[in-house]
Amino acid sequence: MKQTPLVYAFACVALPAVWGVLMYYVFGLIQRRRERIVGRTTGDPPPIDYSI
Amino acid sequence: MRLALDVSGHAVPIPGLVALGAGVGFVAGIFGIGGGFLLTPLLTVVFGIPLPIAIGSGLCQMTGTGTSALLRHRAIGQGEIRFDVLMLAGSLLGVDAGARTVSYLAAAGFVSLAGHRVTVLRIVIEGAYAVLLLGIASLFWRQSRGRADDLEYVRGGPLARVALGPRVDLPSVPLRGVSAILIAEIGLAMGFLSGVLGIGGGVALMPVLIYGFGFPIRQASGTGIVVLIATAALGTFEHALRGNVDLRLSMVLLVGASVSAQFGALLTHRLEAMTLRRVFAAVVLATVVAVAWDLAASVG
Repeated sequence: MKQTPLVYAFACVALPAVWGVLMYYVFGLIQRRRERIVGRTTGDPPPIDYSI
Repeated sequence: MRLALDVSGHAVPIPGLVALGAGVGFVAGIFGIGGGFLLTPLLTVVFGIPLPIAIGSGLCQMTGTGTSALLRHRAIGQGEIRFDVLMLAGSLLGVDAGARTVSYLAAAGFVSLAGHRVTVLRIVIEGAYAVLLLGIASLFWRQSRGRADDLEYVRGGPLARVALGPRVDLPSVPLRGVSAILIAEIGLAMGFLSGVLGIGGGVALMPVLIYGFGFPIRQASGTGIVVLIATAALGTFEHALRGNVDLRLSMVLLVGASVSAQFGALLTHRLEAMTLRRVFAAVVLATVVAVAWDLAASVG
């Protein structure tokens, strides 16, 4: 069985998680700007259930 | 210049990976799901990526999409956190057992079927995927034939009445006196599914919550996300230690999926719910055919 360095294994968890946090804020910002331009609250689209 | 990733000796075109990630993300965004159960088998069927790498990298990608989902669900207060806490320990044990099972099956070598050598891992995992996807397709197809009201609430499921061990109240649902041991065991089963198949496990958890316990759909979709993150993270870590995660592959898929899911989510409001469910059942059924074809081709 091939063994991988611990640092790589941690990076495999940390990098996607950081990307996920980043995307949450970026797309939240885009949505708020869109709502401001439209001039009304469109409401959150239904949250994506990533567990499925 | 050819844009390709070397994944375990396979040259995988990066534009193709982005397209697959974007396609799955778009479908996932439309239907409000993660799509891990589509991504992992398609990585193997379309690009020939070895199953252990597809499973490990799928879990790695899910750590990213799941983190976004957790933040959004927490922000709007959906989900029953007590259920997550009770499932957590069982699911962590389950994902560990699942990752070990993949290694065990990979080491089990080959069997001879109709004169052809096929890996035990491929038969077990692709067979499990075919069964799981068939179940999902039939569930969504059945839902598409009912009335929209039928989907909103299924009160008092049979699992909510199981009298086993200490009981716990779930105020967000609301349910009283639900068996804590049963919830922990469900966590164990979901964790095992995650570790073996590289999926969130929610695809099996949602029907259990809605039809088994009688959760309202919105509360069900927010429940299990904490467990998903924990199992995806631990599963990724364990698979990475075994050399089953290609971080570049996961990040390429993640970039494509996270962007296109937003467009899919916007489209949801323009389409009729019952039509969506039929289309989704057809997409899942097409994946079943692809997996079965791949398995048959390796045997025949």
